[in-house]
Amino acid sequence: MFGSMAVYAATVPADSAPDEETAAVQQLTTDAQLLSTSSSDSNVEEIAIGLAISAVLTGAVVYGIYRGYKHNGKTEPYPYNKKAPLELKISEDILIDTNVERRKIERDNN
Amino acid sequence: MEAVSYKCINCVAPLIYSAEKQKFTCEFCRSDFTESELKKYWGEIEDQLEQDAQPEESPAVDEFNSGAGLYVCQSCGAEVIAEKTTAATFCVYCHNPVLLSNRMAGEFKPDMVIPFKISEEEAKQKFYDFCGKKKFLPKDFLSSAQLDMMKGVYYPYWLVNSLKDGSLSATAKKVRKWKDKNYEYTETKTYRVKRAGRIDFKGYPCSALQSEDKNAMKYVNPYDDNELKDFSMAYLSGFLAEKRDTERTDVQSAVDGELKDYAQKIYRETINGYDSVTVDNVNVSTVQESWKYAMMPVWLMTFKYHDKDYLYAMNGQTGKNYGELPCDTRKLGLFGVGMFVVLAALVIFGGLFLL
Repeated sequence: MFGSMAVYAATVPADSAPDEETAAVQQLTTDAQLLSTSSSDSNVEEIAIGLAISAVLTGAVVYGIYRGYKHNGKTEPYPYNKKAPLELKISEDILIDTNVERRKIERDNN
Repeated sequence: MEAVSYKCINCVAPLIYSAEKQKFTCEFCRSDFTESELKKYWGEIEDQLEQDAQPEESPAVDEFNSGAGLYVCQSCGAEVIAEKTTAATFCVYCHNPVLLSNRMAGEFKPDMVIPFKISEEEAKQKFYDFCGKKKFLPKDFLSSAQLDMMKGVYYPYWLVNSLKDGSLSATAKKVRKWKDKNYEYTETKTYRVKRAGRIDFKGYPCSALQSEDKNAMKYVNPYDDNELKDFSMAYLSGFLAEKRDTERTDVQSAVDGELKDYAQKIYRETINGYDSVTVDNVNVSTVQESWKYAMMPVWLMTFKYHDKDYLYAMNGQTGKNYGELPCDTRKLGLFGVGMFVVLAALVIFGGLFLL
């Protein structure tokens, strides 16, 4: 606000009438208030985003740690590759259909 | 009812099976014996026990109707009460091993056993190493009193050898794309795929105890079947043991379903080189099947935390762990709050600094 007053001192002509002066001061004050409101709004927004990111990251880490305590050791109980050998008697791969789709490539003429 | 203890040939003290030495050991005179030495000395007696022991039919109804049985300890003469599925335990008075031979007689006599290979000290150390990295366990979880509660138990399993014939039909697709100056082309080739053959399932394990945690009994597997030995009650000495409470017919359909799922996986893995495969049909039929009843070693520990029971199981042969560990949510919550504060400070001030 003081900065804007200094700007006012530099921009309001010295010979301007009192009514014009008052209106100009009011306009500058309103502009300054708008500026400070919008910058504090954006600070609050940044803080909120920061808090949200922190909360999400923390939640993911805590959940991951908690899950790590559950169901440890749930690996394949029967090694079927070693203990269930397959003797393959029929192995057929018969082509039954071939389908070709064509799509025109959209070009940007500009 | 009949309860036996295998006794030292030299000093007649009770023998226990040592996982460390893989021999039968006397804790009093420090003698060690192999199975063949014991059989040579006690063999006739074991055969005699098997002849004399009557398989337990319906257990006598006790006041709690639990099927528990009453036994007499051969060492101190105390009466020992055992749950209906208990086959080996310890006398609560003199702590000598007690083997309930009736419960392992007749059709309930196991065919095979894998003796313990991991000793109690090793099991505790492995458990400690497993838990050591976890920072949010409850305070007394790793106390020596808790670790002392770890018990070696022989659990009953059905081992199924099953020869299956089967087939799998599927639809598979290959997709190829290319383009020229004006058009993009997508070619999709569709195949009818068939695989058929014989699968020889060897030693498929199925828990033969209804009452226990199914996941624990499943995921302590696999065991190394090369170390399967002919069953002898002497191997149970020094450990707890449970006898089976299921018949083959009780679990046949579950085993058939599981083997069918494995068959599908096995056939499916022979179909390669496609972008997508959809299984249409799987048929499996049994050519030949044999079932064996085996006792497998497991180290077990239970822990109660916030009114919930946690079970930890370790394969007594290979050391494979399975279990759900309790998490101290208060400690974890405090860590979460601390992490949130630090992260928030970094993100907010770091962001403002950059701007």
